[in-house]
Amino acid sequence: MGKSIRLAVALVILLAGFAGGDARANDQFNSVAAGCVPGDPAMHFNRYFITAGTVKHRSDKVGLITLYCNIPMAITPPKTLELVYSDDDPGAETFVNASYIKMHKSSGWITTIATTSSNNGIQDGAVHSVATPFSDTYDLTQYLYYVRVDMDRSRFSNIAVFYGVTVH
Amino acid sequence: MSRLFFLVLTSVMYLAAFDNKVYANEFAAVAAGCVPDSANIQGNDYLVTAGSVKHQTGNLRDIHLSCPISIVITKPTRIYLVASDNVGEVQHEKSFVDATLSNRDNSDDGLGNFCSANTGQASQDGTVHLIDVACPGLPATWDQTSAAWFLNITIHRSSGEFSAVFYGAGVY
Repeated sequence: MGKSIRLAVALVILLAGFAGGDARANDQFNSVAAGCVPGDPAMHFNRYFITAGTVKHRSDKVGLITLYCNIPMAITPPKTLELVYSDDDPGAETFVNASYIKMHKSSGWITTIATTSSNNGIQDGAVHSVATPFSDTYDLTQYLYYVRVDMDRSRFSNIAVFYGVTVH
Repeated sequence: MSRLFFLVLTSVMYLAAFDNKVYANEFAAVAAGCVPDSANIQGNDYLVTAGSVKHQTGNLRDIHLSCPISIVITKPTRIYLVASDNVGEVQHEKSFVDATLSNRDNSDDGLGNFCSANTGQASQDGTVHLIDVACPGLPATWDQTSAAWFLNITIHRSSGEFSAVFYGAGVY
């Protein structure tokens, strides 16, 4: 019996080696803020400013900035959404939010899997990260995946900066 | 011995399923993650909503987006487009969404167009369809070193009454 199980384990390892020969999955998706695509209102109203890879409001603008970060490849089924940001307003009106979303390829319907926000992290104007764990069945054959980032401020005196996002 | 066979068989089936879902050789792009042409940005021609891209109300200018294949993949054999189009026609003139696999040669800037998927290949009934077609005509050698590959998207409508919506595209 013990010999049979050892033989079975050896066969599985051998076959796994063959099956995974060309298979390489990235264990995470990372995007710097400037690598995401702004939505049309942010572009049209010229609300955002890119500096050193980060995105923030132009000095004379307030209002919603939305960015879309496409996940172009298969990744190991992720469990955490992590946002790198700075936010100097302890209130809720200045924020950077990130949402991990899947779009069904046959219907176009979207489902928000996880969200995370600077309002749930440290808001002292320095750079921090905030993470949200989640559970979802990952299936690139059925869905397209992306991260949507929303950022806003209600006063010129407050600053919210989007640095980057990770799904892992 | 039958127990041994069962153990091996179920393990291999599990690995095969895991492999297909996780390690797909696929480039995927949601519409909102593709980059609009400068003219469309400056003209405020398009609207992004729930990850999809379509014309602004009343706007008729063609919308062009580029979805750069930013990852290394092995030679694809198929291209797919997720889109809707509400004008049933054979002429492919009133409205459509088209995705073309293209490349730009790094040495001479030459543009190559290789295969396309478009809304004329599915029911044009205003609902979303996954149009998944073979991609013949690729060079024998898939080379991402000497050329930059991308999906070239066009959203067209000739009247404000027509609707063409781009949701996503990919190759695999």
